Amino acid sequence: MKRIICMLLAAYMAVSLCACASNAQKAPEDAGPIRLVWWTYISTSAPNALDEVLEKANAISAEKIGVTVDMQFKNAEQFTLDLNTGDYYDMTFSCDWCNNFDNNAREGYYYDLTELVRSETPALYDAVGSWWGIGSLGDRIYGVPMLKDLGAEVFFRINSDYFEGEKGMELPESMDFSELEPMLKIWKEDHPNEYPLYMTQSGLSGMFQCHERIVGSYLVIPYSKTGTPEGTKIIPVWEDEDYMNMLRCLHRWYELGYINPDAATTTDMPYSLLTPVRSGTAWTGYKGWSNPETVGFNVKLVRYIGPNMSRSTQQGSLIAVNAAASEEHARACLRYMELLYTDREFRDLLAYGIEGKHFNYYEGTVIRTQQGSDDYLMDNFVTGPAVSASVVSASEEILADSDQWTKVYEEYENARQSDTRGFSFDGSSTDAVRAALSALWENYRSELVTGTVDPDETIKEIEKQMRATGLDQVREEAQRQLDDYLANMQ
Amino acid sequence: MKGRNAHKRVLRASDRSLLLLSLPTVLWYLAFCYLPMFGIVIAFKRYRMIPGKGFLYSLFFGSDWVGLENFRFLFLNPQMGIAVRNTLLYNLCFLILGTTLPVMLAISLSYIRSERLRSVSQSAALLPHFLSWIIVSYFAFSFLSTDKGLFNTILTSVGLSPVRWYQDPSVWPLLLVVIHGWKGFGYSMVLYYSYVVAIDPSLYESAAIDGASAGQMIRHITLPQLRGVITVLVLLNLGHILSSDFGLFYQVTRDSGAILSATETIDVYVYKALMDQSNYGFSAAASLLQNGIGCLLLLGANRLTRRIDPDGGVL
Repeated sequence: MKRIICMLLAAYMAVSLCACASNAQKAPEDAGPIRLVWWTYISTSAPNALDEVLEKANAISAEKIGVTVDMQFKNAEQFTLDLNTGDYYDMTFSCDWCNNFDNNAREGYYYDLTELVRSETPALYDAVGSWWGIGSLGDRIYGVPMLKDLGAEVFFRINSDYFEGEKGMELPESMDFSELEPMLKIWKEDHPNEYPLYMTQSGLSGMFQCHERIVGSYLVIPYSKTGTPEGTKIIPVWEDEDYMNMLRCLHRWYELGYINPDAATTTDMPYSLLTPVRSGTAWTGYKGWSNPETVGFNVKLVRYIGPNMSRSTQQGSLIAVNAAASEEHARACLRYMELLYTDREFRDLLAYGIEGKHFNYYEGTVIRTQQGSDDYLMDNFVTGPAVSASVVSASEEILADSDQWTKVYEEYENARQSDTRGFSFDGSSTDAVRAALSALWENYRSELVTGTVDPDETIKEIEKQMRATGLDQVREEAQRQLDDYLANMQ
Repeated sequence: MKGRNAHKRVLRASDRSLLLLSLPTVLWYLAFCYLPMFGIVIAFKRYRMIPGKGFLYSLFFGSDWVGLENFRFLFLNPQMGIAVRNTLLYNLCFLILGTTLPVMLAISLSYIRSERLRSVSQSAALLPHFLSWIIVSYFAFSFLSTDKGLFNTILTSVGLSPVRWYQDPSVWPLLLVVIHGWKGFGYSMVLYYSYVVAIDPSLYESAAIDGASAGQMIRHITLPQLRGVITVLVLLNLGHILSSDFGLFYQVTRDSGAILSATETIDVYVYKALMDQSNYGFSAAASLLQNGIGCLLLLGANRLTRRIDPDGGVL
């Protein structure tokens, strides 16, 4: 008996091991509609109501275009790992900061859609219009841009109840970074034990958007140089005077007690802190941070950077197709993306959930219900183009402009366009040096961007170390690539 | 004939059962420890995925050999000397304190008469072992936070000026050693305690009859009896001399840049270097180097131990 139990146990465990090993994913082939595996991004975990929403969406897409999707949510690390181990997908989220589009397209991981998109889905081709360059390398299309805000505009999110209501100040539409100081001073006088510019170790969100990042966060081209001969000259980040001036302000504010002393090691910043000034990247007319029930007070956005535009700001969301997908599946992916661009109700379903349950339409905009906020809340660019979805209002009182995107895109005509004209750096020959440089920059980043240290002194130390590690070698390589790219374009 | 007998002896019925019982473990080791060892080749290749093919195909047929190029990033760091020094010194300190203190605690524990007190102290010491480093990092932060931390609240209440703990590298060697000890000593203590109580009581009885004091019994009975297990644990730890507990050095220090001269270890550097690019070749190279050196050290120390005491060592 004992022997039999032993054998059974051993057999069971051996089978379990084999089962683990053979659990590789294969492309599903159904007899009915084509089922596509779609990888998309989420920083935490898939929304609770995903199955319910997908069931409804799949019924619609199966009927309209003969395609259904199996949507799989991943964070940035999972994307890299799953892509590199060869897991199967049909279409995938890709962008500048996650599942890097340019690198993957350059490596040949994505399907060349250049001819197919014109012949199979002309309506999709027209919808993206003049923006195809975002998803192209050279003259070949490797990804479909999911159009959203394309220029970087960075805003202070300011407590207007306090500054306008109580203090009688007027918050302008835009201001210089340093103009924040008197406001911080007033708040500090009223609340001596609190910090008006509370921040985490990441610093003020979006503050770097005053320059285009070419290599890592340390080799850049300032947007302020656009249109001048220096508009195509790659420099170390500390030579961007606009950025340095912001860092100097932050350090002064830190010393004055406007910034929390633990900023460089703080990881959370909940709304319950009621901090009167926050920062974030959005677009003019955005209402996502304006709900007083969530934030604790009324908020006004005051722009302090932008709109600035470059390849990296434009590559906020794309969908690429797996180079290993069959042509039939590639066509199905394009049809699905076309549906996302052309059918507003279908688009809203994926972006906001089920109407009447997760959201309601109001004055041409969408207002989320509590259930929607709890069970189906994510960035809308991960499920398709933001421009083809309805605009979100914070509440019936805080309405967004339903025609917001037309105005945002009109403003882009006046945005500062980077002179690099869609250039992206190929870092494959400098991997080792870049790794060492990244580590060095990371060593000082939190202290710098939170104002904890004097930027002028710290930069001297960083510069010495980074130059010794090979910063100039990488900068010269990047400059050479950029010069060649611009010469070829001409 | 002799061979057949030997064969029979190996496969006795009870042995066969034992063999079967060990089969899952053997398979587990084969599948998860030996089979993935071929992954070492990643350290010498520039890994590139071939669309539509699996990992193995991409690794062996789609990726180019790059020699020692993947190791280069480790030596480009101008502060690598500090990182290696920190890693070695902390590990040596952990090794020495992590052996002597738990052994002393285990022996003291065995002298506690009250069973209740003994089990309470055992549980209390063991508890921190089960906390994740993230939780520990929050505990530490609640003590060390500049404006709301317990330490600074006490300092300011007695009229002293607050200290920016996360900006001051000089306090961190001590803090890290204390936190590491607090979290790890209990576990080792319980381990050593189980060996202490397993020592044959008749040895102590005869020593007591001969009039030996407690100190003499510890020196001449307990410690010699523990020597085997101490040697094994020290040798095994030597294998990890160049690796460090990422949770302790990255989470507990809250990735504070100002104290890196005291807290950066090789693992922290590798993590920071590869945050921007997921370069599997680089990370494989780093861990191959760390574990390779660790393995050589282990083998060397094992040989030395065997030379001193032929019954000692782990191999």
